[in-house]
Amino acid sequence: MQTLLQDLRFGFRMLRRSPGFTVLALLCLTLGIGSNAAVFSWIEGILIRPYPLVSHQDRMFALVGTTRGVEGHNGLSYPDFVDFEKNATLFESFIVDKITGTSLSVGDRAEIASVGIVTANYFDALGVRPILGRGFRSEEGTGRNAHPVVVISYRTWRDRYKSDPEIIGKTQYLNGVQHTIVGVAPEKFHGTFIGYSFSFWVPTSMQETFDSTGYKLENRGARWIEGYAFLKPGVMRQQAQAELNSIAQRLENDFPDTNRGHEVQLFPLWKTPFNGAGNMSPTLAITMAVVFLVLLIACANVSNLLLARSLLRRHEMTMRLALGAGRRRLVKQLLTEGLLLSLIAAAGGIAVACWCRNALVFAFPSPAAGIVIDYPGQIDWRVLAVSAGICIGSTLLFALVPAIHASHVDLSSALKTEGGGVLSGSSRSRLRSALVLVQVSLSFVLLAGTGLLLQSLNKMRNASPGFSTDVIVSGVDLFSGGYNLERAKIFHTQLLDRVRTLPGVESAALTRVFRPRIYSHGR
Amino acid sequence: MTNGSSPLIRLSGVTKVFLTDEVETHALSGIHLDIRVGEYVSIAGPSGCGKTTLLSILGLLDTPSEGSYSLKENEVANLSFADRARIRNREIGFIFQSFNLIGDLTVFENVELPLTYRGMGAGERKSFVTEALERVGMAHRAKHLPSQLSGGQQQRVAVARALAGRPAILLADEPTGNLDSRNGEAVMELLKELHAVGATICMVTHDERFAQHADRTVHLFDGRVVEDRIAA
Ligand SMILES: Nc1ncnc2c1ncn2[C@@H]1O[C@H](COP(=O)(O)OP(=O)(O)OP(=O)(O)O)[C@@H](O)[C@H]1O
Ligand SMILES: [Mg+2]
Repeated sequence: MQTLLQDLRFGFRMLRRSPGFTVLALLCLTLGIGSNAAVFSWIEGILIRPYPLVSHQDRMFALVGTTRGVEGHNGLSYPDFVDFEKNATLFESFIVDKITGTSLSVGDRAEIASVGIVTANYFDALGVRPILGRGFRSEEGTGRNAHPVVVISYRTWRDRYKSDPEIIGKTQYLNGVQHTIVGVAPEKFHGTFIGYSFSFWVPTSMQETFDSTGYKLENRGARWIEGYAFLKPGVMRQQAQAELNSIAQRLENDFPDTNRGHEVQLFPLWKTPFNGAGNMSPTLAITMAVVFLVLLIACANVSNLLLARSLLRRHEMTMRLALGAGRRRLVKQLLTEGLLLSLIAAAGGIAVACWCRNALVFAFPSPAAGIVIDYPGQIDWRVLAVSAGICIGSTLLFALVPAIHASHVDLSSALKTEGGGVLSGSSRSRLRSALVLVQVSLSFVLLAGTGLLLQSLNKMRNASPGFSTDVIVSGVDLFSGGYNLERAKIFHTQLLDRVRTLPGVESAALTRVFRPRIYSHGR
Repeated sequence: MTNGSSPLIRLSGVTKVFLTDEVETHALSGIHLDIRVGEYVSIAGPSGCGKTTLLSILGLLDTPSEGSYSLKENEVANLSFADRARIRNREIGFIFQSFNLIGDLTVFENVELPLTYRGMGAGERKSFVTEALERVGMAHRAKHLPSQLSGGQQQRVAVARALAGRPAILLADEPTGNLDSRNGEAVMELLKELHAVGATICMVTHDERFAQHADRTVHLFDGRVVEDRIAA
């Protein structure tokens, strides 16, 4: 205990007495640990466990409609969805979660916001309990436009309704239809769509209200549904897939006109083709490789620094041995010094990681006012432990190099030192300059690695998960703003004319329903 | 000089051969040497005759190629690294030509270092260190770093470090080699005083004047003892 204190004091003094070494080593390690932890957290957050508060994400799979022999994917039709739900035995639940936009009137203005069209069982299946009011009742899922009820997100409640505690039962116009607010989702719940934070959820019964292309709940040929399925505990994906295949086969036989060649596939969440996941996973993989490289280079850099310093300390080690230090004692001292360095670095790394946690949001600016982009980045302690472990391990390893030197040192050289009285360094200048060379070249690799990382981030930004930022989407709902049809038409024409004459505008178009282009179809 | 008791140190037939690039260097050949408690031995001889080699064997920094070495009647020629470290720490005090203080430790901590390795408690350490520093007149500089001291002061601290553990013998290899004559004489005066109060000292020196301080001079030539003269 006493020797530990002594070693710690000496370790601190060594760090203080060579500030160049200390700053450089700490910087390398901190950035190494920090960037790794941050990126692994993104990956964990986006690909592995993307949906905060949602339980059993390990049993959650994306439900994707495909056509035999054709690349890419399409949706499911509502009647098919209902048949799958009814006939499947290996599944705990099926949910629909179709992203769409809405325009809503706020006072005399109109804004757009993202809306999820979901099955009535949505919140129950996810295990998410609204903090105010309730989720949807099962009868609210059916009946054409029969249930204008809405659950709002926490952020919407806080920002748009000023956290009104009496919000339940109040109404809001969405796409011109007055909806009753029945629930407020918990703060951390953003929906089940990677990349977007939802503002509103409405039941499937309201599909027609939010879809400009018509009523589809009874149309087996209209494949619009994106959704998820939860397997029962212990069921393998292959078994579940086999069951879906047989149901699809039956549907194909029963409804050859609409269902010939149509199948349904279960995708792991990180491969979900209809949200940001599919787009982002390759780029995240690049990023991961790059930051891992950065971590390795950081370790190598620090090791080099330690090695260079071990040369400087060779004579000190010889002296300590000559004065009767055991090798174990020296190893203990060097370990303490290395540990001190890497623990400070690990603390710094945690700080960097926390700071970078939400940096992904900055890489993808919100494409339109009212749309909130969300990339959940939760610092995962396992991730942090692994990165910190790698750094601490390598630091300790190389911190021990002087001890290795010490084990086959010629002690009688202690009697033979020439030069000044204070031990400063052996002048093994050739080896040292070689180390400096390695050091410099590694730093260049580090620089290149960082460049690659930036490039990859840039690429991710361009592969934006939905909105092309070249296209300015602007949504207004004139009906909820009090316009009649005639006046609205005139307004539209005038608006387009004016927008077209603005400098820098190449083309302008109007569409009634806002629909983010989330994915590119294979076709 | 002959009090009948066995000597503190007995080297018999000690040989040291260095092998470098298939060239054998016989640094020491057939050395017989006894050193008794309380003696002040000076080792002299031309450059390359093996003085430093002899001292590093005496100090257990190196092992003889042949022959035996008994220290306090224990055979120590072929001990393990750890055992030699332990004996070095307890029985031997080194004074080096180039002081060899550790630059990142204060004067106090430098002197304390061998005691720490011995596992001595903090309180006892403090009194040992203070006593040694007072002995060499450096107690007022305990908190300084070596770089803040003159060469003569550094060597006095090094002497304090060698003394502090109350070793059986002090070994010094040209302790004045890096000092001007005035500082050199001061250090020699210090060794003389230490000898006067009972320390056993074995010192290598080129300087005839300082060799006079010792009560016995051993002359080496080409790895052999050619003269062993006891001052009158
Ligand atoms: N580690 C070694 N490897 C090979 N040869 C060595 C080694 N150390 C000493 N020698 C050789 O042993 C001989 C004696 O060396 P030593 O250092 O003992 O001389 P010295 O009497 O101390 O000389 P000086 O007065 O110059 O210090 C020399 O010939 C030297 O070259
Ligand atoms: Mg010599």
